Amino acid sequence: MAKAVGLEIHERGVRAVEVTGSGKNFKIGRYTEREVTPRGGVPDPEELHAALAEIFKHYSKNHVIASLEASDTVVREIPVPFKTDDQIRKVVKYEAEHHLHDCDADDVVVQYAKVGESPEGTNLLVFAVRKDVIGRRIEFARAAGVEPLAMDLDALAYVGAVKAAGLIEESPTCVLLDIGHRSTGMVFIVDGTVRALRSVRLGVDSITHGMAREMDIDAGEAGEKVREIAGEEGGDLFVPIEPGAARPETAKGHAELERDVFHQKRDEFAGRLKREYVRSVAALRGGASPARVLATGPGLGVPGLLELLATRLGVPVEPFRPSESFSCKLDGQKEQFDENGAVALGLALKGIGHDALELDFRQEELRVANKFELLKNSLAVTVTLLFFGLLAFSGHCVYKMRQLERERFEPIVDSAYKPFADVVAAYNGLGNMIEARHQVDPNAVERGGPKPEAVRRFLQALDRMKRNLHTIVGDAKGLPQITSALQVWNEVFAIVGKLHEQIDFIDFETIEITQKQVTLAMILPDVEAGQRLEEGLKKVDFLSEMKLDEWGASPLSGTNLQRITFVFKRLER
Amino acid sequence: MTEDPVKLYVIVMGILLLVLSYVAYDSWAQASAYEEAIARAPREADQMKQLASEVKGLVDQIAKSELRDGGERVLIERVEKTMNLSRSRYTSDTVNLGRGVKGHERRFTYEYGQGKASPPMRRGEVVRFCESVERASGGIVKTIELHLRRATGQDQQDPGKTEKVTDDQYKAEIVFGLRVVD
Repeated sequence: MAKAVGLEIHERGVRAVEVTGSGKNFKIGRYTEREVTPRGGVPDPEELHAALAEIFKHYSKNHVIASLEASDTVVREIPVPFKTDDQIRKVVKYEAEHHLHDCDADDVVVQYAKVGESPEGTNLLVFAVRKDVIGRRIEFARAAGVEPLAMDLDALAYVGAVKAAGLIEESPTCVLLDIGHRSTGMVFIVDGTVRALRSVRLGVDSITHGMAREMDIDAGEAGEKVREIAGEEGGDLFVPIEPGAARPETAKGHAELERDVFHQKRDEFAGRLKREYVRSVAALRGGASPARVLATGPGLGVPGLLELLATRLGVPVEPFRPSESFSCKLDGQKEQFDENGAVALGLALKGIGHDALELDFRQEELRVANKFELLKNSLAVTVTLLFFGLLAFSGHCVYKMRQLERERFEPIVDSAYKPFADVVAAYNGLGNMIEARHQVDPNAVERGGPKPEAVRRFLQALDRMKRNLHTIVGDAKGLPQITSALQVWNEVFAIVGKLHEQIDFIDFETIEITQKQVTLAMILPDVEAGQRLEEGLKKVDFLSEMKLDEWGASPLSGTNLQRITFVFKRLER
Repeated sequence: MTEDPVKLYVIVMGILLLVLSYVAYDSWAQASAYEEAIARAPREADQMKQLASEVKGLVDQIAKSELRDGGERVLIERVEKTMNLSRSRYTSDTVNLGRGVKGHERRFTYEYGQGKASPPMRRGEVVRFCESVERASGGIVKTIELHLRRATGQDQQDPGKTEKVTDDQYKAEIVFGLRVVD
């Protein structure tokens, strides 16, 4: 199963969520948060390293998505005279440069989201983060042996988590509040689209620090007191500050005074946040009115804050509790996770495909060097699917072959085998006429290869046998054939026999028949007989030459006789 | 070795995938070959029957010949004996058929008509002898050459005396043989 880890690093510590599964079906397996001492606006490096090392003893390091703080981001809405992404991507950085007053375009990573189109072009929400800020975050992670595959803004990761929970579909125009220690992120969503993002330097620390100042105690102690009050009042108890109902200060106990200070600071916080909220809503084009505010972050731990905000903002303010929307196994950590885990969850969900804006701040020289890291999970799934697909295909082919063998080939081979074996038996039965190396074993031929090729092997064996037999009988292909001398003999003497009545006698002196030439030397009574014989023998179409000469007296009869020699050239027949 | 289990898995599965791709391709090729083999099987079965019948014909031809009991020479001499012929000379040789032909000619030369032990042969006797040899060999052994020279009747036992012989008697040199593949 694919695993992704969302890693939120903020000034006060680190939060990690591990999700397992695919985009549609996933489970939240782990949640961990560790506090770290802040040093000059960033977490103490050594403590952070120790915290990350401890977390990643238990978490997968392979697919980690890390956060950047919205408070470190410059966000602007700018128009560009283009509509396609390709064109926008080419110019966005330089268009954004005009709106970045304190840094060079080459020093920032710029990402954008479309917020609207006009006939002249597109309105973009541009996010610019300094490369050194991103680089520092990457170094924090690398020190713990983790290479974040992508990085996104905490506020946008929160959007991803809320969207995955289906709450944006429920309320397409809403505001997401991430009330942190030092800052509060506000994401304005209109008709399901992120229209504005603001990070206000106002967090719950303003309540504790205010209390600390008023009561002359340190911030840590003030925090303890807020937790005590939360324990006494309950997270959902809203105690409005009604000036008319207030008792005189002299009549109050110490605890009541502490509560009053807390209520006062909380009220101040809510008031300031309201101002920022109202200003931002007013700046939204189209005059959209949010139907709901969903809040997350340490602000949820401040008793009565959400209720107070709801009263002040005039819209319902509800906590976003991920454990109510997703399947999770977080025994004992559910409360912490619901309060602080939304951003880390959004990052982890980005790792498995729930990516609200599809932004990644690891760009240019900060891009992940090893592409394999990005692709390996998809690759693992692909090779697994391919493997089983090919396995099934091979199995199917083998099954099909066996079936064909059984149903189609066996009857054909069986019916061909008997005549083949009979001929082979007769062939082998020729005994010493067939050399041992030319003997044939019909069983070996049948089993000497794949079944469907058996008939072909029979054919090949028969062809070899045939060639061998032709060799034995002397008429192998490719050899010049012998014409029996008897054929020539019969042909010549058939003609001579017919002429015999017209010629007194023919006395053959020599008869020479070879494969190339036939020579007949004979004694005839006179020249006329020779001419007759020549006429007759011309019918033998290979007559080439006739020689006639005076020979004198016959040794038998004593008469003068003619000696005649016919030479025939043998022709190829 | 990599410590990343996903990387290791991808590498191992990649290798397995390559092997399996080959196996799958081979299976597919075999299945295709099976289908082609099915299409041509009836035609091949017919070809096989025809070829088997040709081979059977050749086997029968050899089986009927008397070559089975020995070589060509044994067959020729058996016929010679049957016809009560006595030769005056016998030679055998092997002749290469020349360039471009992977075969040779086995030649058996029989000479008759030198002296009393081997009287001259009549023309008809020569023809009968040759026919018998060819028939006995099932047409395998053929008469390659015939050289007949009318006998002048010189007696081998008495070279000084010339004996009159009939016109139809010849000294005969008969060459039997066959050509075989090397």
